[in-house]
Amino acid sequence: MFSKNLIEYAVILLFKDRADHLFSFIIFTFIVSLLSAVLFVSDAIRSDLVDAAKFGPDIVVENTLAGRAYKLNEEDRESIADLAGVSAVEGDVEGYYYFSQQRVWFHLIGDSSLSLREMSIGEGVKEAMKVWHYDDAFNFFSTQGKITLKMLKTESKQTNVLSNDVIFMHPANVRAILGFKVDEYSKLLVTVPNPNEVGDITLKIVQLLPTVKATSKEDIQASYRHLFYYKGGIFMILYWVCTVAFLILLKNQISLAYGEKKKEIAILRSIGYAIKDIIALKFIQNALVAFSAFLLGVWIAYMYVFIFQAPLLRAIFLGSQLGRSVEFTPIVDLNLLFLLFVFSVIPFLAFVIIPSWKIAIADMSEAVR
Amino acid sequence: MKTLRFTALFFALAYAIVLMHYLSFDHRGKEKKIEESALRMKYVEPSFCFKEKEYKEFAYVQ
Repeated sequence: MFSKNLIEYAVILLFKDRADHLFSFIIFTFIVSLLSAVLFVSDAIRSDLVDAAKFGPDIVVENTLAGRAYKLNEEDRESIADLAGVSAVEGDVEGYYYFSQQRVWFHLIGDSSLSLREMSIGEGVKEAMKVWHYDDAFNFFSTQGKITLKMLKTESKQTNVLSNDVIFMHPANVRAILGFKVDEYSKLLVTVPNPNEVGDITLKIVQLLPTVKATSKEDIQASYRHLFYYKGGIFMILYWVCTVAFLILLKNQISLAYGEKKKEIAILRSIGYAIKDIIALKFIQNALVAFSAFLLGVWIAYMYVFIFQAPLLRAIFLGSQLGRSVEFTPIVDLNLLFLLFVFSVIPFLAFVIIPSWKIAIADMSEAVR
Repeated sequence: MKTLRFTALFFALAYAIVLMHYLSFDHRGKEKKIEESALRMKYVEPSFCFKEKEYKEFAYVQ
């Protein structure tokens, strides 16, 4: 494709103008690593959540009062259970407990496999309790008095995206701490054996109990797939940072074809270089910079997210109120990386090759002067 | 050419580390752990710990 001599000459020229190319290289690497790191973190969280949602109930029913979450009762459970197509309705008790000393919320979840005196806690909960020297047991304060539970075990670090703020305990303890009566529930979990009926039954539940919110498994999975608000918040700031950095980069690229470089192109033309050779020369130089920067950027992002577990960035995505030693699942979306490649490398090359071509076809005598 | 070969070798080694890490990660084990946790939780909610609700809305869809 390109002669060996041309490639070698292009590399020599690249080193000769290393200051200009180094600037492009650093900016390009920064943009690619920043965008890739965010994509890696969001894909890893989303993949874990979508996987977990597969095991959820077919329909989740929550009650609301004045727009806030409210209790459901046994009558609601029975009326849903009577609907045709529903095979089971399980009442679930869970909720949040405020640990005022540390100013954090713990998510209490009922687990009947645990005894009345035990609890199993997430890693973040353990760290928050440890600060106040709750090493083996913790005291919950409720309207019924103090409830002391022993820490049986800590949940695996691998499931931290789900269990970091969670405390599993016997459902009777959850009821006592959160103030639920025996016939009251925070959620109703509905099982529908025929997947084709889920949509209809969801509508029927809402018609039957107008204050409730019924969410199907499909909707829950869809909400996790679209968890990240790409048009606002953190992403908007990120896009602006990357756009400004990319514009600076493109401006630097154009300057690589003007000024002294214009003279250089003119000299090359006057000693017999064809237009296609000059374009090839510029292409080799800048393709080397672009490909190296892209590969290095993706590599840095991978190491930062999946080996060092994204320090600083993970706090933006997961919150920083509880200590978190998360383990991100390595998920690499090649389609998105390809998209990033196309939208970064092609403009990068175009912004130096097109001006170089324009100079190469212009009157050389004027450029040399 | 020497520079190009050196660059290619550098990236080959760098990406070999990435590939090794990706392949050595216990994807199946993690799926199993997530399944266990999800079954215990019944209804899965992501464990985000933001100071205020607004912080969460800064990163996620409301």
